[in-house]
Amino acid sequence: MDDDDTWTLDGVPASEMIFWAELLDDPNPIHSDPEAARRLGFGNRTVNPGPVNLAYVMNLVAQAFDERPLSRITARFLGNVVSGDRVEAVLTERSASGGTARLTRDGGEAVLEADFTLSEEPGS
Amino acid sequence: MTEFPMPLAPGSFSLDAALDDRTRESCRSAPRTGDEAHPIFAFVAALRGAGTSIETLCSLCGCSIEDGPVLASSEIEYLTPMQVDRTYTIAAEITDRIERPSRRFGQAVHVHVAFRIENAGRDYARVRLHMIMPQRTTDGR
Repeated sequence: MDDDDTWTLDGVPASEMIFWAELLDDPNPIHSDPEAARRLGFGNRTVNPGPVNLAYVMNLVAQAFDERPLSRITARFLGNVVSGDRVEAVLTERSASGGTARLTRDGGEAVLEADFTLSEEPGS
Repeated sequence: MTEFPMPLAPGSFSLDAALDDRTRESCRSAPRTGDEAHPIFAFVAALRGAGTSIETLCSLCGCSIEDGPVLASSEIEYLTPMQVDRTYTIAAEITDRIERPSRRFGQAVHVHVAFRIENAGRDYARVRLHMIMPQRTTDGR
């Protein structure tokens, strides 16, 4: 597999979840309070806001397609990423105009799947 | 009974270069080239810039944010790449509200919300979100 078709992050940082929760104006305490996450069944690690997981997949697309702008991206949020997880975004299908991608966490659990198309290349 | 589609209050979202830089750093993205913002900002602008909070959205649908709504899916259509140092206008509406049994929650409300992001009369992105909101039964379970 081409390295450009894979994007990884070792150790999703809990500190950045607080940034994203504020950015999204999301008051859910599972993003910032390990005790709240534990009470709600997520173990004692905070939970990544879903849009951050989508951002990881967008990073992969930008990397794999040389920063070509997206035209459309549809995502299904299948599971949760928690702090400390190693996440990996992989292209599962690829064409000249787009593809599909999957984001997995520790152990290979799929947490997000996306279909995307890209803007036409200049001059095409 | 509230009818759908239901327009929500319009809002705005200011996207400056520093925010894009910080956001890219946060999600471990490559640095910006030119003035195009990270594409996640279509999502961020929709949620943050709509004139209705998630808490109010839940309330309008007969649910409570305390019960833990979840995001099921999203669709983003980019019409023009979003640029930094712009203030975008966001229009939104709840397009549908459907009650369904839920294996996870017992009973849930599926809510579909559509957003339009524009600036100076130009459309930049359209965002559609599908959220699932747990619905308490009358006995509080």
